[in-house]
Amino acid sequence: MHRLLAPAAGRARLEDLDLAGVTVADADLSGALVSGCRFTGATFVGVRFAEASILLSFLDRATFRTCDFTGATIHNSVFAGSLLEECLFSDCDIVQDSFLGIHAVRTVFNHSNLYGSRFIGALLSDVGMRDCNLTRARFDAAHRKGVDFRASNTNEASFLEALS
Amino acid sequence: MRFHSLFSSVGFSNGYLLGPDAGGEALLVDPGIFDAPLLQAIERNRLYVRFILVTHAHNAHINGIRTLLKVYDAAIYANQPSVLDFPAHQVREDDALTLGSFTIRVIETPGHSIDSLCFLAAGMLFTGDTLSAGEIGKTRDGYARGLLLATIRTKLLPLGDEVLVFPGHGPPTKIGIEKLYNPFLGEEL
Repeated sequence: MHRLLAPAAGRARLEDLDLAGVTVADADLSGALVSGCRFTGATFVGVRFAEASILLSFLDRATFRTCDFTGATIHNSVFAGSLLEECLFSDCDIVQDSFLGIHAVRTVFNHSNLYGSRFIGALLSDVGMRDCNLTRARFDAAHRKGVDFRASNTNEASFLEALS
Repeated sequence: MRFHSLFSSVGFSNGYLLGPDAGGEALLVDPGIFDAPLLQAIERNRLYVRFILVTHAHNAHINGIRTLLKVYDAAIYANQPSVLDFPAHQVREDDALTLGSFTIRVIETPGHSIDSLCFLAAGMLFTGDTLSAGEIGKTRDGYARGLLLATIRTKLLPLGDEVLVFPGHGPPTKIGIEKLYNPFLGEEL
């Protein structure tokens, strides 16, 4: 098992790395800069990404369990096909990210900006999306069970059941 | 390689800037806007925009060209002889362009528009409005839709699952992701 740990002092920087398939457990990457990285098929358990900046990175078909992204900035990144289980994405800036086909369970996005992000074909179960900006967000063909959209602008998002 | 994704809030479109690490001649895909963030990205990285690639000549993807050409002496590559009345190098299917330090393969993908192109460079596919995350381009009629779907299936999907897709709108994706999750690609022709 690979273990990635942030340096004791300073902001961890992960740039242009291919770490596909890596397993990361109980690491603290709070405040880290993750840019241009590939984590396809990776597994993250109990990892803290609080206040991190995740830019133009591919975290597709990965597994995230009990990970904390609170306050993170996540732009132009790809979580497609990933499992998000009991993760926190509260107070995040999640702009133009792909969550296509994700399976999110007991995961919270409350108070986040989800501008232009796509959850097409996702399976969302017991997911919190309260007080979110959903402008240009797409939930087409997504299966939603127990999703809490209270105080979010769902009128500015797309929820088409059938696409053709 | 320097790579920047640029968002235009005017047409909600993406543009992409590619240049060598050491600075020098850069190429810009779909300059939908020319604004301060783009200028800063170019200058901060000591780049000079020499080449403009146009996936299709809809306003959201070319509106920045006029201003850009006042600042940089750049050549335009498109599937038309001119763009916004500026002369362009008209490119065709399977053309291999050597632009600065980049080799670009041209793929014609009509459907969303008759002049639609995709550009493949360094494992990255710039798709304009042909294919985006979970979507395909809008089309005028059933014929164009069938043409677009057939083009995607025969020309783009075989490029390989790990090819990164940078579309004209929305987040990036991969060919393999679209095969799995794009609901349009299962449609009957």
